[in-house]
Formats: sequence, C-alpha cells, structure tokens
Amino acid sequence: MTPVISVQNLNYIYNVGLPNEVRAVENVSFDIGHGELIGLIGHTGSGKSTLVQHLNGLLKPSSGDVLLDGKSIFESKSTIHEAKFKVGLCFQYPEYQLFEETVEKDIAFGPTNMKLDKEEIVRRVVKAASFVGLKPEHMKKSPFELSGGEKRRAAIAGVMAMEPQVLILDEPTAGLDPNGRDKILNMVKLYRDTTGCTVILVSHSMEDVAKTCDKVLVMNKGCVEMFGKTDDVFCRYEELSSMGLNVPQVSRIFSLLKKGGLNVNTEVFTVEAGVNELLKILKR
Amino acid sequence: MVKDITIGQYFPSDSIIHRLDPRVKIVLTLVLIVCIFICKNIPSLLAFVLITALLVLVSKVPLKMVLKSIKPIAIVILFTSLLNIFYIRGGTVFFEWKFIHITSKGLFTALFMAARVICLVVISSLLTYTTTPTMLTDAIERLLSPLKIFKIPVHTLSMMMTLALRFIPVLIDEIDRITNAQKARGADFETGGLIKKAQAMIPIIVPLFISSIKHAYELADAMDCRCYTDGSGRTRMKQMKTKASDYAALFVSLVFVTALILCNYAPFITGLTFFNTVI
Amino acid sequence: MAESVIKFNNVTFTYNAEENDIPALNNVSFGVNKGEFLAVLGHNGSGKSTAAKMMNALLIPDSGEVIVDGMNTAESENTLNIRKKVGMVFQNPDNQLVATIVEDDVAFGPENLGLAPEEIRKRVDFALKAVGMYELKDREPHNLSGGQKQRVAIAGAIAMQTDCIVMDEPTAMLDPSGRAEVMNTIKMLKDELGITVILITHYMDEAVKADRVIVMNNGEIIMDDTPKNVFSQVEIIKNLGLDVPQATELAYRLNKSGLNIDYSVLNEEECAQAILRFAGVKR
Repeated sequence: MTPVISVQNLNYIYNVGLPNEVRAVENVSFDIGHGELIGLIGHTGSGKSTLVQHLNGLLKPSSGDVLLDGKSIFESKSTIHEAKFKVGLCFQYPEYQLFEETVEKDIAFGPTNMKLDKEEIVRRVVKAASFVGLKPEHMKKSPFELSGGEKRRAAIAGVMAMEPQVLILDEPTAGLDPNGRDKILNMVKLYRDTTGCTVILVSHSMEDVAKTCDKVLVMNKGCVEMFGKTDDVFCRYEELSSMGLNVPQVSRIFSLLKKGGLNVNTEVFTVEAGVNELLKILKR
Repeated sequence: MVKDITIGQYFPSDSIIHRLDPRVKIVLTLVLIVCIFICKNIPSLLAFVLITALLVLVSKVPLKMVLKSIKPIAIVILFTSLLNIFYIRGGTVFFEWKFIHITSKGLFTALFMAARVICLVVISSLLTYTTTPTMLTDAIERLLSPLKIFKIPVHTLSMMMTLALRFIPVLIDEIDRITNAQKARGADFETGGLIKKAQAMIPIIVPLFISSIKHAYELADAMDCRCYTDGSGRTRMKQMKTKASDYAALFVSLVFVTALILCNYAPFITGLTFFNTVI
Repeated sequence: MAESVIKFNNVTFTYNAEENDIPALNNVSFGVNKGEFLAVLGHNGSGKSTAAKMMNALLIPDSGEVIVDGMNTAESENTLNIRKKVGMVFQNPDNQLVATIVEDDVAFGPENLGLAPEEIRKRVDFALKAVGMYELKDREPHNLSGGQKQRVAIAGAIAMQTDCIVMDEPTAMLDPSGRAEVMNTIKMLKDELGITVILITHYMDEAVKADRVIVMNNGEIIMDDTPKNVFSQVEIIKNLGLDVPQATELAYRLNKSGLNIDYSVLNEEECAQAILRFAGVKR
C-alpha cells in the first residue's frame, strides 16, 4: 500500500548564502501509513515545526520532495494549493487565527475556501464541532466569548472541518491546564479512531505522546534521529535524555528500580503500564 | 519583505559615533539632510558622498548592513533614475531614438537624485544603527522639552515611540504567524482584484487587532507593576553629557556646512561654477 | 509562626459585579510568610490569577482586605509603596518588556522610582548578573528565547529591590528548557537573595518544588499544606482536574491495589526507594 505521506531526502535551508545560514531540515526521509497516530518530538529548534510546514506545501523544500498518496505536492501551483486541504495543519496557539463573527462561520472558513456547496459545508462544520466537543449553543456565539480551552478547540475544529486525510496538530496542548490538555488528547485519539485519518501530534511532552501515539518520530538538529513504535523509541531512554528531552518520570523510576536490584522490565512509559508491571512482580 | 525594514535597528559597537551625545547626533543628522539639498554641483556632491562614506567607516557598522538599509528603496531609485535619463532633455545629446533622449542634463539629474536619496537613507539609518532606540527617544524627548511650555505632552509622546519600536518586531512575527495559519486553511492572498485582495486581508487584520489590544492591556498592567506613573520624577540610568568630542563634531560640521554653502551660492568662487549644472 | 509579608483577610471579589454573580474569589484568607516559596495551584478559572493581582493592588477586594507589609491595598496612597515591595512577572514574556534593549528594560522600574543614575546602574548590573543575563545586556528582547525573556522580567523585579515576587504562570508559554531556566531562577531568588516567591501555576511538577502549596478551586482555598501532604491526596487533586506527580500516582495506585507502599512521595528517588523498601520487606 502506498504511504499517505512520503518524505524523500528533504532539505530546507534558511538564509541561503548568508553567514547566518541555517540548515533547519537536513536530508530527512520517512513514510507515514494510512490511519497512523504519530508523535513528533524534539526540542525547540530541532526542525520539527519547519518539517511539518513542508507537509502541506506551506514551505517549499530547498531540495527533496514530499509525496502525498504517491504524488508530489510541489508539482504545480494547484497541487500546492490542494495539499493545504488534504493535509490540515493546525499551528501552535491556534486561537490566534479566529476572526469571524460566530464560531460557526469561523469553522466554515476552511471548507468555504475549498468551494464546497452549502449543505456540505454545514455538514462538515457540525461534524467537526461535535468532535471537539463544542455544543450547539456555542456555535452562534462570537469566538472571542469562549473560554481559553474552548477557543483552542474551535480553532482545531476549523482545520478538522476541511476533512483532511492527514491532520497535523502543532503543540495543541501548549499552555492549557491538565483538564484542557486531557480533553484535547482524548479528542485526538477519538478523531483518529472514528475517521481512520492519519494524525501527527507535534509535542514537547513525552508523557503526552506516550499516552496517545502508536509511533514516534524524534527530530534532533534538523535530522530524524529515531522513528518507530512508541515502545521501541522510548526504551532508548538515555539517548533521548541527551537530546534534551524529558523522559516520563515513570521510566526514570523504573530504571532506578532496576539499579536498586529489583528485576523489572524497564520499558515502561505510562503509569498504567508501571502499575501492571509492579503488581505482576510484587504480588507474587 | 516586512523583515527588510532596518529603520530602528541598532548595531552595538563602541565607535566615536556610537559615543556621541544622541542629541548632537540627531541635530547633526538633520543638518546633514538639509545639506544634501544644498549640493548643486559635482564637487560639493562628491564631497558629500565622501563625508557619508567616511561616517560609515568611522561608525564601524558593517558595509553589508548599510547596504541592507538601501535595499528596500533600490528599485525606486533605479526606476526614477531611468525615467530621468530617458526623458529629461537639455545639454548635450548623447543618444536619440524615437521618444528616448539621453542627454547630459538627464544623466546629471539622475545621478544627483540617486546620490541624494542614497545619502539620505544611509545617514538616517546610521543614526539608528549607532544609537539605541531608548537613547534616541530619550534624546528626542530632551530636545523637544522646551515644547512643554505649550502643554505638549513630550514625555508621553516619547514613551509611545519607545513602545512602538519595541512592539514592531513582535507584531511582524504575529502577522507572519497568522498569515501562515490562514494559508493553512486555504486562504488565498494572491489572486483576484484589488477589492478581493483587500477582503482577503480581513482574516489577518481582525486577529492582529485583537491580539494588539491584548498586548496593550497586559503591557499597561506590567508598567503599573513597575511603578510607572506619568513620567514625572523619573530619572535615567544613561545620562547624556555633551563632551568635548560632541563640540568637536558640531564644529567640524559647521565648517563643512559653511564650505558647502559657499561653493554653491557664493558667486565669487568662479572656478567652481564651471561644474555647475542647471538644476 | 513567621511574620506574614502578605495577608488576605476574608477577601471576596467578583468581575463585572452587576451582571455576574459568581465570585472569582470567595472569602479567601491566607498569609504568605517571609522568605518562603509558595505555590498556588489550580486549574484555569480557579481564582489563582485573581489572587495574584490582589497582591500588588492591580485589583482591590470587594470585601475583606489584603495587607502588604502592614499596608492596606485598598488605600490608593499605599499603591506605589506596595508595588515597590511586591514585583510581578506575567505569563506572556513579550507583554512585560518595555524597552528595546535588555539593560534599559531592567532599568525601567528603578528609573520610575527616581533613583540616581549610578544607583540604577549598580542595581541593573547586579540584577542581570543574578539571573545570568549580564552577557546579553545589549541584546534586543525579541532576539531572546522565551526563558531568557522571563529572566529579564525577573531581573526587572530584582532591580526594584522588592521583597516579594509574584509570578503569574510564568512558564505556561515556555518550552521545557525555558521552564527549567525559570525554575532555577526561582531557586536562586529564594536561596541567594532571600526573596519571597509566590508562584501561580497549573503544573504540579513546579508546585512540588515549593515550601508550601495552596490549592484553589472555584475561588476558594481547598488545601494549604506542604507539597507532600497535598499531593498524597491523590483522589482530591485528580477530581479538581489537576495532576499529581507520576511518582505519587504510581505509589498510590500500588497502595490501593493492596501493597503496603508509602505514597507520600514526590519524586522518582523517593518513589523508587519506597517500592524497594517494600520489596525488601517482602523478600
């Protein structure tokens, strides 16, 4: 089966030829399959934001290519334009993009730009709003009357309503309290499970990624350092630490237990898994 | 495009020009700008260009940065120069074809215009390259302080200027971010006529406006917290003292200005009128 | 009992009182001790930011009173003196830096106090060195990282020689390395300069480092205790929509599954030790 997104030898250089030239993305290649929920992690400046802006054609690579369903998105102006709708990109702090008089109209902005007919737009808006948990009484309100968490979700709905094949969320939980964060993460999972769409979750938090994603892609200094199943990536604990990433606290506890002489499996990244592992060992 | 604007940028260094009293620098910049328009013959223009080049050299600001300040207006200069060359008639004719006439007068006008505009831009960006925005606004406040007699709120105006300079880069980043977010939702800023293009700006302008108001409210709170009242009783960490070097700079420029005036307007220096062009 | 620098006595406050009857703060009383590091924890809308703004007279109680170093915040002639005592650092690093050069920004507060230029210079240099930003004193704020901007904002408060610094979610907009920078700076404020720090946050991993934690919900104080005692109440904290450290949660859930493990643990070392102790007992 063709991967939904295939990145091939992608390079992106800022300020070409100047003394402050930066290689933001260096020779990156990977494939993403249909319906995968992928966590993209890396510290600030690792190139992850630059990378995702290539996936919907917002940035043009210095060299290399991005294939969407086997076809290059940089073929022509129209394919670049189409890519915006096929790969929905929701930026960090997306509430800054709200501008319409009502929540409803704001969510409809993307679908309207796709030149869909009226009924289809209405259907998509209603569907997207229900995914993010906005109630009908929210829809006629001005987006600026919503609470912080609701604004965030309305903005995400605006991208979902384009019904992209691939949804990319850049730090969707930044600045939210634990409640707001859990709501968004559950929503992301539910969205993938019901629509079967591919989702890429860009995050600083390895704990959030551990809880949510099937696969993890780790960026460091513009390169892909690791890409694989969540378990396989997170057990390379020491390497991740040295890249300035914070490994989940449970994982650190388990490596301390191992050092302390308790014979535990150290591939534990969530509290849930940790409880199960220890019960197995200690209850005997 | 917006990121090319260099006005208000500061280049840290410790040249003689950096150390001049900012008030003196502002006055001298104004004087030099007036001088550009006094120059009406080639020797004085050459002298002026030389002085400008000398100032750049002494300021230790890299040539690259100075050139960057000319970049945004380079096309305008080129275009008007070409117009001048092709259309102005007078003096010796070098080339003629249909409606195009290249004449000595056209060439001179183009040369003068280009040299003047470039000098103007270089000198004014030199002021901002060598003076921190805080010093600049402080100096303006002090230079304008006599206006307080007429109840003009000089301090408030200069505070507003400081804040504007502080927030220009913040807002530029914000415009970038909002534009990208709306592009990702399929917004089209390129096609269509003028009205359609203006309409396409709404999704950028509304969020920008809202976040600016938010910036303003939070900034007001932050300033309150730091005991800002109305500027009365405020002192400054960086004092402005007019030193010997400042007087020297003033004196040198006075000599220079006098020389320029003499060689442009004094009929008795007949040797130089030979170069005069009729502008 | 140590003396209180800031004291809340039965404070109630409602935003837009005419059209709104849900108070943001409801009969809140507590004191902040001199030299302590107090964390105020709560989810969005719990009233924690409102409490912060009460501490230096940005907001005035509808009823009850806030006393800062013996001064009532409701009396407007006290306002300036209170703000000299209590500095504030906000969430958005961009909206609190006023000047276009780092050192000029730090000088802004002392300049407003009308100090002599040499004194201002001394304080600015001291403050910038304290937060480790002296090398970058000639930079423009927009070229700094989020963590660096917050350190400049903290330096601005140090230069005012405040006794107390209130930080209203200073790390909410920062990445992990920026958050670590701010937390290290807080430790320095407390340990080296003896400044009282009040940190408003919804990150439990920051509250864990405090001397004392106040948990707020719906404008009321639910808990006021040491981090250990607060976070071992795992159920209550989770029901409030807050996190407990994974270490505490792990030990707690093992305990509830019938293993006699002490769950008043806050970090990975304590947790690992508690589990190892239990395993040792069992063997």
